[in-house]
Amino acid sequence: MKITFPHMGRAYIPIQGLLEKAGLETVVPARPHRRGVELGARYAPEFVCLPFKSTLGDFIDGLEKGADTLAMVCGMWACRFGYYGRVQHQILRDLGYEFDSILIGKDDLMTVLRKFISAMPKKKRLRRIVAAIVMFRARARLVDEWEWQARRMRPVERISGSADEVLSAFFTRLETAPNLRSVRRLRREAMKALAKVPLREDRRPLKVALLGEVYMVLEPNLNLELERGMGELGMEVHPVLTTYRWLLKPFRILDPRIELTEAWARRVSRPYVRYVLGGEEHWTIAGTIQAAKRGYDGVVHVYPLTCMPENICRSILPKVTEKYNIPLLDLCFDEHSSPVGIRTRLEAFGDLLERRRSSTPAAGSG
Amino acid sequence: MKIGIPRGLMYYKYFPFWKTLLEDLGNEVVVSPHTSRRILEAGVESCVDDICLAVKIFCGHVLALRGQADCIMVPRLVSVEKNGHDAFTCPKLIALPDIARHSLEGVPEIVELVVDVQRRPLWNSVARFASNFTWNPLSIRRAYLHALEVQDRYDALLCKGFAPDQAMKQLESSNGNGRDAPLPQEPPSLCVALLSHPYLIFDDFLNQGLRGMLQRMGARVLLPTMLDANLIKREASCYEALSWSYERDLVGAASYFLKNPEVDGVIFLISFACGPDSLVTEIVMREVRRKGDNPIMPLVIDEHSGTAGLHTRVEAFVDMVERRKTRQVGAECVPQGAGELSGRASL
Repeated sequence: MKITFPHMGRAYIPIQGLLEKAGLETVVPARPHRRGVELGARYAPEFVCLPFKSTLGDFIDGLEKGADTLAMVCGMWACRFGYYGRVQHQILRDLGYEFDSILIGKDDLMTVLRKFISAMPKKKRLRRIVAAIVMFRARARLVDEWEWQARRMRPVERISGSADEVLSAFFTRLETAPNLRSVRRLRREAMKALAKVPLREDRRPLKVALLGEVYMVLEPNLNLELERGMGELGMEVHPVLTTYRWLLKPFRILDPRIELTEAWARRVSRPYVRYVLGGEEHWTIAGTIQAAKRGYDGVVHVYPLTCMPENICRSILPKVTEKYNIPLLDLCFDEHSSPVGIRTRLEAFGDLLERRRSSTPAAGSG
Repeated sequence: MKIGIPRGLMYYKYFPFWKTLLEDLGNEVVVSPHTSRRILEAGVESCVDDICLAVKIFCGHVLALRGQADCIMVPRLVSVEKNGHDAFTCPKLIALPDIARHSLEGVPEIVELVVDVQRRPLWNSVARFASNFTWNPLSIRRAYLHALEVQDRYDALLCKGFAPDQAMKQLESSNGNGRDAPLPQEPPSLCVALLSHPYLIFDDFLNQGLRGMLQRMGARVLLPTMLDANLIKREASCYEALSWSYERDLVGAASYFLKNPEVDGVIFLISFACGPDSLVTEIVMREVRRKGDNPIMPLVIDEHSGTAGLHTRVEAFVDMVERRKTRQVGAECVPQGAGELSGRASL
């Protein structure tokens, strides 16, 4: 059994670690996957949201590379995400591919586990599973840590792009790190290497919250390296949702903070979105309010074209930002978005924030 | 109190219920005018660009009620059936009052009727809603039962093939149980099923008079509202369950239309950027179509559609269906001549 799974930011590093430690063969779709997006857009329905197209492209790429099992997470509630797996796999079967599909979240949990376990090598299964979970967590944490470090360093580095350069080499090495010891070693080495990156201490970066549809926030290939672009323009990006958070959400027992903040976000956003819609609508609203209260300079809201929950948020957000007095930039992405258009808008937004800050010296505290 | 009801989205499905309920509770009901260019433009202007057309028109209707009513009733349909597993409606219907309240300017107070059958029975929701207008639980109960009864009669009329406007007129003129005048129907030479949500089928501005267009081309138009609810459920259960209630009904209706030999062709009407339908189209075109062999055409409309383009496509489809039919009839009962349609009986 050769498993492939769609990309979502750098989530593939921990997931690959999990599966390989468990003794399963994986195929990771190509990256950067602009071709995947194009392929997906060719076969996907016309006005479905962008993550559908991108993940469909990933599946095609994985299948071409010899995968025979497709794993996909299925969401709940009213968002379209719940039907991704079903429709995508139907499209792929119509295209003539043959494969076995694992729909996590829709199929019964035991059937999913049984499928995985039956494909594992016969010996020392329990040990392998424990090792896999430990590896998964270690990699997820390290990816999260490095991503945060990059976000903090980008706006203040002397040579633009130097932190990313250092880290991208470490990310590639992390992909092939065989055991926990090597993961720890990588962490130490990365810390040393990052300490050498020259920084400008005098600069006070703009603090900007990044929120919206989780896939668009996390996937640099779809949001055209938004985080990096914002960093280079002198904005310190604070995404409300991170890969780590998304990966560990199903195992929320492992991290009580996730459950608590989830409940908090629902409570805060209740005056604006009364009911669960199935996307990240509560995080978008609550994140905006939180950003204003913490004295951030602005909010960037990203979502794919026709996304249902985020479209609703977008109708409501102007009211929220007006009440809490915080600037907002809406960015809507589809498969045609060009980096230059996004860049121009970001630059203008950065200028606006800069001017706003200098005109109100006591940085707005809502 | 004067309560406005926007003529959009689920108006076409539940209006008699709302109206009876509100009027029995001592309110006056104002309905926004039929969709027009002005309403569409107002809606498009006040909405996010890529929200679906039906929601834009709904917002236009809400805006048209400004100054006409003391408050506006916007339904929040979270779930409309209880069947043991997940069931809900589209996120936009769930968040409709939020959208109306927070994104439209100068709108009077919005009262929302929350329907969440999964969580509490309809009666509870109605009682909660009605307590805005009266304290007397007995009169609420009476109004509720009356409204249910009127809604049943309305559904029965729709099932017979009346359009919502005609059906509502009937309900009013004869208190519903008078003459059941059968619809004026042309000799059924050709039968085209129109598969879509009621708010797309019955809003003649939005679909540019598609029903009339088909009738003028000599086709009898069959609608999902004319099918028995149980039949739809039975058909839908052949497929993997969808949790969107209205979309599951669409799949059921599609399955019936595509298999039924009395139907000659199916037009699947979709509004641009409709979230659930983007996937339901795929499910219908890939899963359901396999089991039946009637021709089907998906037809997407948005606020820019020119009438000519739509007309051409529908015309071409009807021509194709017609030709297919005459050929089939010719093949089955050889000497009867192409124009005669007695072949239908043998099917």
